[in-house]
Amino acid sequence: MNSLRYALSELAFRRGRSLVTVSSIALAVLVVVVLTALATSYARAIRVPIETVGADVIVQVQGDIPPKLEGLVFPHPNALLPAGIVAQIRAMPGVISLTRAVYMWDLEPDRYASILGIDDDEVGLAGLGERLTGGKPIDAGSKAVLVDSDYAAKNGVKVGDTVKVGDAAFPVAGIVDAARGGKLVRADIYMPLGVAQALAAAAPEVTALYPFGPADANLVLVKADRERLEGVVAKITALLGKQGVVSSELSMRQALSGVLFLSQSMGLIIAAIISAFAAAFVWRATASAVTERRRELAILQAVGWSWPQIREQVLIENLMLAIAGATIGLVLAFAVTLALGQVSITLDLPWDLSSTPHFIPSATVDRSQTITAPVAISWSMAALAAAGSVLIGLVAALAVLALPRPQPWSLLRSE
Amino acid sequence: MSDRTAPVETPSSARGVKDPAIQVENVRKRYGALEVLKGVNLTVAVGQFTAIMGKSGSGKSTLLGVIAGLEPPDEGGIRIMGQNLAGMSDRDMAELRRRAIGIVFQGFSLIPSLSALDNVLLPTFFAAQPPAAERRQRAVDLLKQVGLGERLNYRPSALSGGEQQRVAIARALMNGPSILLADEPTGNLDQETGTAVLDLLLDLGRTHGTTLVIVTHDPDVAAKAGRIVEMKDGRISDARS
Repeated sequence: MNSLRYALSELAFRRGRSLVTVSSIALAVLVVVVLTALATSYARAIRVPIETVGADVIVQVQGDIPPKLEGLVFPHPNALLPAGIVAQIRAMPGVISLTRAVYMWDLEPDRYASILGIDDDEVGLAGLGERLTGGKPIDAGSKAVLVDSDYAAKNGVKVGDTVKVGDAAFPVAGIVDAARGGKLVRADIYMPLGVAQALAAAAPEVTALYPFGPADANLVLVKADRERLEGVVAKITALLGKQGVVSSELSMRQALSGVLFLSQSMGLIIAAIISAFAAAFVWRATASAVTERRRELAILQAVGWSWPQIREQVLIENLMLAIAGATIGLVLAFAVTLALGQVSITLDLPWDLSSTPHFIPSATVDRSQTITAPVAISWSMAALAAAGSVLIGLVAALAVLALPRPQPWSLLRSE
Repeated sequence: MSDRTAPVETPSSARGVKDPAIQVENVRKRYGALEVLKGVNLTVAVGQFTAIMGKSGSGKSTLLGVIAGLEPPDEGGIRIMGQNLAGMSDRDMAELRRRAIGIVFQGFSLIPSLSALDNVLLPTFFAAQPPAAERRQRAVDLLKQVGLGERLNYRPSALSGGEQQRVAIARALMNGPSILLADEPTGNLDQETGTAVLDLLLDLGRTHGTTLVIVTHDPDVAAKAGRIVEMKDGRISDARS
């Protein structure tokens, strides 16, 4: 006979108690791992709309409503971002790269279009080139534009046609499926930044509100070091003051917390509560098992076992229960996540991040976006949950065995 | 019990002096306000069969616990085969019990989850020598000697009271102890079974050359002892051979 065999005999002999202890550990591991997996998936889903823009932070400034809603106007969430401010953002620690843009509405009596002039980089024109469904890409020096596929279909626009923006006409170089890139920072017509800056600087309804110069912007997309994202957001917010609109996955999470009942922290809180209950249960089960076995432990002392040897045996038994519980919990968690497959979440995206004139019914777009994210077990969390179970089992046994114990003879004597 | 390791004394037998198996010197034991042992002195020679008798509450069972090192005395000294128990660590005390003392209890005191064979093997659980197969064979032989060769893998719940006590006797003898302590070993058995168990205990004790100390109420049991010690009110009132 060895320690493991003795432990197995003991656990099998008290199978009811063993089963309940294993089940409570398994349940705690299951809940911790599944909730963490769900929370991680939701957190990943929240990030998707911002990620599809290709940036980590979207920077805007709230302005005023134009005196007249005609011609080229800046929507009020896209007020002037002077070149000097943009340069300060670019110089902030943690900012990897920055893309400038000018976002406008072209309001004509017979038509409406949203216009985005953007830098020629991965987030801007170069990125759009990858979503071409027809035609060819444009670059910073182009005099042509790209047209969104939905807009093109609605207005019968084809590659080679000409579209009007303000008073100027531009050849259509290509059609892009911008919807594939999500619904944020999306427009009907895309053009080089320089062209849009020139149009804005000459637009009466823009200059009536802002001293817009040909080097300025009204939308900035920032790629930041993810480790320093919070710091970057805080610095930009401080720089722009209360008129600034700084969007990131952090603000998305905050804005959507009502929808996301299961945010990462909520998942962890629930998991922590259940783990605490499981720990209390394991402690109680161990305590009553040891109390029940006081006479048995006294017998072991009588036949020549030292207290450390007895403690080691009880630890082995609890360790086996914890390992069994953790294993069953992990297997169940794996099965549950496999059955869940993926989480699906519908987000109502903030209007500010891709504003359309709500007073024009035909310009109104559906702002909801359904995002799916696979539910996958975090192996580090699984390892943590398993290690936590083992720790709970060992600590419970040690805590119980450290309690004052009666002299063995008092449990064994005849009188 | 202290965990400090006491210096291991050289038994006087090793120094060429024949020590008594058990030496109890002026032992006192108190439970709260109640003094159960009031300065007990007792010497048991090697190989002697001693019966300790007395009414309930006389202190005889407590004295046995003190001798077994399972109940620390408040005052006085105990020597087992020349080794002083005072200040001995838990580990050394356990080692001494494992090596030199076998105990049989009134309530059998077997581990319910283990088979008869595994119960008998318990005192050798941590032993490196002799090899496991040899230990197992010795346990089997002992169980055969007590008439349970066919019940090796039975759990205690599947054995009668007499059979359980025989398993307990085999377990007490497993390590070939110098001293066998029995606390009312026939107290839970009917007369016939009790007599059979006692005869077995005496027989095996004699065969193994063991010093035997039995606590009993039963004059018939005591009658078989080479020496009878009477206890009354926490003191030895009479000792006769």
